[in-house]
Amino acid sequence: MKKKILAAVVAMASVLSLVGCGEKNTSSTSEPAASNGSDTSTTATDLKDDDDTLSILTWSSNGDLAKMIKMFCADKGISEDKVKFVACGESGEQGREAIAQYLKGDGDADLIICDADWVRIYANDDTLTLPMSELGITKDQYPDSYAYTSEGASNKDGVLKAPTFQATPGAFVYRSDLAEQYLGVKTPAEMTEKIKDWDTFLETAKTVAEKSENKCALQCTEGGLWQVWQCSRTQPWVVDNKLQMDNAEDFMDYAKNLLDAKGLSTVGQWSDGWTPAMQDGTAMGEFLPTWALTGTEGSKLYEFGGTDYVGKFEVCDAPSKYFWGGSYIAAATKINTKKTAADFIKFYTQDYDSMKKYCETEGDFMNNKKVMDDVVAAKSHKNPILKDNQDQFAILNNHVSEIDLKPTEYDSKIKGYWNDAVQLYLGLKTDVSDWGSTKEDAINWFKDQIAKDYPDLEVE
Amino acid sequence: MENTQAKPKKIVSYAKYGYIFIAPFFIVYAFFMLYPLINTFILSFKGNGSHLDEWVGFQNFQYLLFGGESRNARALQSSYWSSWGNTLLLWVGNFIIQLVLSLLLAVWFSDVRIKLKGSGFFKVAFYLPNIITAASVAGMFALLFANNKYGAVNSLLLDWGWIEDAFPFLNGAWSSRILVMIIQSWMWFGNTTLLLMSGIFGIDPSIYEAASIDGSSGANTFFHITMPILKPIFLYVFITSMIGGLQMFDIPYLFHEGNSLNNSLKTQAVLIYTNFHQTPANYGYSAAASVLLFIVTAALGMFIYRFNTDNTAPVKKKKHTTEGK
Repeated sequence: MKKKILAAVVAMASVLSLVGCGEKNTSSTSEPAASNGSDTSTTATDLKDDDDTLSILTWSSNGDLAKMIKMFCADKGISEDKVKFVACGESGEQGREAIAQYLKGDGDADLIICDADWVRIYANDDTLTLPMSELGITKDQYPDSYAYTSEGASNKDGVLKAPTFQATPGAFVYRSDLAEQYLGVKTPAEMTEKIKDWDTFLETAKTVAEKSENKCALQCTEGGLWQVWQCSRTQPWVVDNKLQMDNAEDFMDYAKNLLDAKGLSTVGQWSDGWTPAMQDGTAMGEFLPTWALTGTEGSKLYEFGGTDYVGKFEVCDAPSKYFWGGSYIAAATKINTKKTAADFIKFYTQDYDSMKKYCETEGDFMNNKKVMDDVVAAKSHKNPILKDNQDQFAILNNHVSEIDLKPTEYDSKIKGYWNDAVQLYLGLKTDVSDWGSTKEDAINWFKDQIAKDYPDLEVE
Repeated sequence: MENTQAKPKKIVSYAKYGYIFIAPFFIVYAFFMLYPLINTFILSFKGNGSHLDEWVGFQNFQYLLFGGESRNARALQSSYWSSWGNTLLLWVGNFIIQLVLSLLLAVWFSDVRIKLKGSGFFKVAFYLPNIITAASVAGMFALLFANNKYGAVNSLLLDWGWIEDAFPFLNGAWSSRILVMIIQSWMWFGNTTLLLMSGIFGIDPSIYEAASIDGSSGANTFFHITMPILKPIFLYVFITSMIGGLQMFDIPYLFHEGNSLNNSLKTQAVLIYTNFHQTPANYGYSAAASVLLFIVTAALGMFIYRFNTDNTAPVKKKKHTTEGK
């Protein structure tokens, strides 16, 4: 008998040791509200917390959220372990899928941070996210937000799904010492004039190449260049289930001309060569948005500055207005801390004082016209990496109201394939075995990649 | 025997304890292996994208293998076959380098006449690359062979004046494939060397003695004694490596720069993975490709089974086992 019991215990123990993994959350069984965006807006007083922890899903490299949680908790007097940072995937690109995976499990999930490239996937899917009206948050509460962000915050039917705390307009950041050496440019205003449109940009690139004996390219990466062009599209990537090329082919020609004129370096965006190329004079400038231009540790500009190049960069207007990225805050359908969640969203997307404070401490560009106009007017913001502590907000604030956004749920994948296709054409990459595809080959390759990944899309 | 027959009640059936002890494995197996396996077959007959719940019959297989009318199907077919091409290329390439190297080392280290010193140390050293995580290996090689002039290899070649511009090792189709072959061989040659060495040590030393007395040269001994006797081990190495090669995933998936995968390194496993991890997911294509890979792997498994049951060996029939009762 003893043996029998012992055997049973051993057997159970070995099974349980395998089953025991996985986070159990007993309190997450509350109502998985299934509203499909009807206008039964909830008033703020109805909201309550069924759980004492606010779990925010994001990816591990998201440095913003950690800072946001800290400031929110300090301000509201909440203990920091009551607001949980849940890392799904490492990068924003991995987060896209990892967050959906997490939501299928039984872990606690209240808010979701979505990247601009894929916010539409989450906003359009009512099984993943709730309309903001469920949290008592409506569009009319955002009179001061920038127009383009409301497009990103809504789903395809215009229902508010994911407001954002930041606007992410971009600018051209360049080495002021090289600009003076090759172009005789002394101020950002003069530099803006040198790159006022794409034809002038190309001419200036030729001048830089000539003066530097083909050693210095005006623009560092093809990816950055495309980021600006992408925002000049007249229609979204997908209309009525059909892929739209729009200005994409023109971009190929432009990038090729720029490369041939030695105005574009062959260094890849996000490659290890990016920062050294901006430091050793391989490239003079790069297109970067708000979040990459902060003077705090972790930003791309901070990296460019390193130890020896602090104070050698300046920021000026890009040839055309653009934005790049941005984080949107959506509510998970299984949210069970609605009150705190609504507080968190309002704290960062509506409240003037807290948004201004976050802007001043972290250098982020907030999605609030009043805040940004006031910060720029006060001339108090200084960026330690830029020459003479230039205030990048003064430049970024110029055109942010004119940006428009045409999001689709396919954007993040399409962007990746498109950049690959352009690099095929530019000869920076090969697919099969031959270097230097023709433009047609590259476009065909691009369309094939989209067609095979999205069986529902029509690709001509 | 007589004693136990006299007291039948005393018989203790230990078998059931055996079942209890092996139960955990089967329970876990059913949950984590058998159910997913069956589900994969089910999924391979279901739709993709926004039609995940629809039954589509053999459509997934048809699109993967033969394509179809739409651009979507044609693009899928060509990516499927090109990933087969990549898989085979990468496997064959890495296997040749690996085998030549391993065989050479195994023969040297087991040769009684050469008597290399420190063979224990070398065995460990050869095996070490296999212990490093694939992610670290891929990251390390990606750093060494970075596309731009800041990569270690590129900057060396530029300094020596061997090349004018930085060569994009990672972005080039053939350069990246060859590098992956080299990485794979480097990671696995230690393993193969050990297998072959144990095979060679299993050969009766008296055969070698007889050969050396007869004045056989090193090469002659190798081709006429070592190789024929080593054949079963050789075959085992060949087939296991082939199955491993068909499922090659980590290095090809991780070996790229920036966010986009390298298409010329897209193997079967990478294709399955990317279709699975797609939003909206293409579970149907992913599962159908898995099933096809399963069939190929199973066919190869049968192949090794046939070779292992040696037909040429004299058949010994153990008659007493069947006639005993």
